[in-house]
Amino acid sequence: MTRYVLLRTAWAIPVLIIVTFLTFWAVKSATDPVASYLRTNPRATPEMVAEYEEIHGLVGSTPEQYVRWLGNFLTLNWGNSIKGNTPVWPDLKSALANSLVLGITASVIGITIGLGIGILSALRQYSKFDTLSTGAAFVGISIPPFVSAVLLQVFFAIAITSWLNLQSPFLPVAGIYPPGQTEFDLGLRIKHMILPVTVIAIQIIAVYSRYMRASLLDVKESDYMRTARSKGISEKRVVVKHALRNAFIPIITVAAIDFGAIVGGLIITERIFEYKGTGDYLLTALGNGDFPQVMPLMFIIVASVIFFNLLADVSYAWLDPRIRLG
Amino acid sequence: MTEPVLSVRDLHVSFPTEDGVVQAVRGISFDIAEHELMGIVGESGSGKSVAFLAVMGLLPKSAQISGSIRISGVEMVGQPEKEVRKVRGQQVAMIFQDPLTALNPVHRVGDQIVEMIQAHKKLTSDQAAARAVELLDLVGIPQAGTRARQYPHEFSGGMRQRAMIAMAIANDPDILIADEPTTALDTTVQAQILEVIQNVQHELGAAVAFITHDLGVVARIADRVQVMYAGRIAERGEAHDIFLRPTHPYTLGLLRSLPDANVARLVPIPGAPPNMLRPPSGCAFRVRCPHAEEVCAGVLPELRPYGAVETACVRVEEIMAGTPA
Amino acid sequence: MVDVLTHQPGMTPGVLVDEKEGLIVESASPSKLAMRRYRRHRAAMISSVALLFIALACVFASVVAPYGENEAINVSEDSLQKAIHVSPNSQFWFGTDSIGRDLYSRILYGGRVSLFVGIASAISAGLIGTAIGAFAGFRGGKIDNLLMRGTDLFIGLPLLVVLIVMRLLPEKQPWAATLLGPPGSKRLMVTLISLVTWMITARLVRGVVLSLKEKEFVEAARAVGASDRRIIIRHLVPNTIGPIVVAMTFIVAAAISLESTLSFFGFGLDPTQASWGNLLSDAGTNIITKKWWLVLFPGLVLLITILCINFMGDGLRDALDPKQEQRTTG
Repeated sequence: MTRYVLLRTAWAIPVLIIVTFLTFWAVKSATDPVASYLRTNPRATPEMVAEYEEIHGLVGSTPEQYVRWLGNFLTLNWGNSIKGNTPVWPDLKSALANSLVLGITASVIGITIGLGIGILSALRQYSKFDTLSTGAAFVGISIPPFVSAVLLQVFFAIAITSWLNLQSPFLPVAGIYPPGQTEFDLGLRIKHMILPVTVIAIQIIAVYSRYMRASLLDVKESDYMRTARSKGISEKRVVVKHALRNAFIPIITVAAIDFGAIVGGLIITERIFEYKGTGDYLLTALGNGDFPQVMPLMFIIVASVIFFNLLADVSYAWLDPRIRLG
Repeated sequence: MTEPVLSVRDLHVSFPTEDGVVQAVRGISFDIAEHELMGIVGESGSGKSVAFLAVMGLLPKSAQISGSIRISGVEMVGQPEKEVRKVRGQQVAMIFQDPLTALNPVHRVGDQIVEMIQAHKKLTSDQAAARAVELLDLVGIPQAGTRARQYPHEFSGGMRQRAMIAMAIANDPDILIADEPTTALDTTVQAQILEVIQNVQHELGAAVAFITHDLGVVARIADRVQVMYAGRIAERGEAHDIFLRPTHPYTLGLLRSLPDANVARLVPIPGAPPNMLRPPSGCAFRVRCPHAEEVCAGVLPELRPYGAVETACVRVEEIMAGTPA
Repeated sequence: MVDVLTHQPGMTPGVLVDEKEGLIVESASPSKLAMRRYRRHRAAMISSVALLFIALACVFASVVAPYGENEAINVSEDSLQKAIHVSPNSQFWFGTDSIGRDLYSRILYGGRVSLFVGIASAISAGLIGTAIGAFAGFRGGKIDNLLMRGTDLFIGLPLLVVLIVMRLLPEKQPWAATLLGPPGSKRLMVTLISLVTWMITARLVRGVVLSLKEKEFVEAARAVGASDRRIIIRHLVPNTIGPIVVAMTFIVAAAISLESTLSFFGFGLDPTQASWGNLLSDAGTNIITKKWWLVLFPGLVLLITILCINFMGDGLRDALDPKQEQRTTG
């Protein structure tokens, strides 16, 4: 097992380098930092441009640039944004924190509910509950998140507010806090998170309920279930110790991978609800072609994905003795 | 004469499926006595496995079961699940066909045996674990202590089956049901497992219901033999009587299709097993039987004594009269 | 003497039985069985009908739609004022937008684009994936390993981020525009989406090929002297068609969803082409305006279409998956 882990970890590092290098090249091509610089500083002289290039290591071949950039990145020398010339790190830091709060909250709620529904559906296959939850899951999977986000916005900001004749929207639809609020207020924070969390949780519940249901149904058919029953143990023990124990293995690995995607994956919801997380940050930065803002985040995203993929592999090996010892 | 360990009367089992109702078992009655090893022989679809899954109470809830099943005198049909569970694993235990899929891959072998023990006896974990190692030793697994802490995939096929047997005998059952225990194994290993089962039976004094399609296996170890076809019993008797003087055309066909150095050509039974959605009327075998007549379609043949055996063929006297011995 | 008909044992589901004699009279072919299983999936059947309806309406938009795709309609015959932001009524079933265009008509025209992108992406991803997957599975060894490691990398990368970055490439780099397609074009959209979804079919096909490679009928074909290419085409591919069709169906749904999301944010198709995503983009980013119909109808159409495709995929999966065989009870 240790050998397996070490091998996978050793693999991960070159992969990280290669993928981040490709990302570097792609993002640079897609944002064209020099052009962006010229856009925000239209009166820059050629000397200023050359100086800019020099400072940001935009000289030499692409691999050279990458290495230089990597050096700066690892020494936390992240520079300033092109637009507004503000330090990159503070904004990115708060964006990361916001996204993590949103992502983890939605994941915890979503996965718990989703797994619960999935288990009940599998145990009561073909019942009304199963049919209804399957239908609901299909809707949850099929509805593009921006549609559900916008529809919820319209419903809660406009419809309910006018039905109940309220002065301000029933549920806030934008921002982390109402405009003007600068201090930390748990109540307001939660209130503003309700709708974004709901949108994300809908997707998570839909996907995980299907996964769990499928995995559990698969396991339920196994021969060892019959053997377990033949021992005369209680049905509850049969389900928990035998069925669930085996059914959870693929779920956990999927969950690990999903977690890795949180860092960069809430783009839609954040943009629509004007929630200042990494997704919103990324969209804005890409729209502005702001390379110094985009690239550190992209590196973090790639590193996070690779790390969690590794974690998923390791956890799968740990949970399934056939792989651990085979 | 003591009460039979297993007593089945007029058992019917059917399943609803997408295409209709499958009548897997269509009225069988038999007894298995203490210490007896009964061979249950039949093709796929004969109902042999389904009948014994019904005895264990392991059929899906959608299955319709009627008749009587008495294990050590206790009626099982119609009982609440709680009561059935007390008997399952205690008075009756089952060994399944493919030990690789029948054992849970993520639990240690020893733990799976401990689970069997603790389901019926109040032993501490340590006591149960020690007992599990004893059992593995009993079935001939070397280094039982180490092996108990291993996982099923680390065992060879034969060892896995031995482990299953160890698990089944953990609570000293009155009757052991072995559902094709050697089918998934190599021939050399088959002989070893047969020996294990015989030893175990000897040590514990349990009865055994040995389900198989392999007549060769049955010939070696069975006291009595019951031949099943299309959900009913075709013939039943002492092993040597069935093999030396078979009376039912199906049994005759089975024996004739066995490879035999003395016979020039194998004579297979023509046709294929019937569809259990709508079995043929009367005797289900008549469709493939060289001796079938009009009368065979009319009535469902019952088992009746004929010579030393019981046979379910309405024309047995005429057939026996006409054929050379 | 009774006549005995012989048949293939084990084909009991889907056979017709002579009631009196208990004999097998006719056995059904695999495709007939599949059709029967598909028909049993109620949601899939309803969805197929609904989707056919939607697809036909969109394809024949020029006939069905009461107004043009970009036609700003006058309030009344003698007025030049445009019918802006009219809520749904008998004339404009789904209302009008900020320029006075009929939403119902625009949805119909937009459907053409969205459906085209979806289907084209699925076909493209299917072809690429099948080719690569079959190759990897068949060759096995190092090549297979390399390809699988490659696809592994892509799993988990936030799809949207990848798409947006790639989408920006043709805008800034001319070579990307020639290779992938002009910015905002359908071609670019289809290319991008298939580039991120081909792995699905590749993995599937590779899996099937790997498992089939070892089966006896391949050995038998080899023993008779069949060439590699013949084995792939005549023996392996027919067995992969089922899973591929299922995967492609789900890719269509995913592609429509992706395209609409990208277009909504302005990273998709050119706004001059009405697509369902673009329609929502017009309406959605400003919810303070109370024009709920501009959001509801395109959103609902998207939801219903994607839902129907997903149900059909589920039905196809039930119909074509060989694992659906009943367990024999022996």
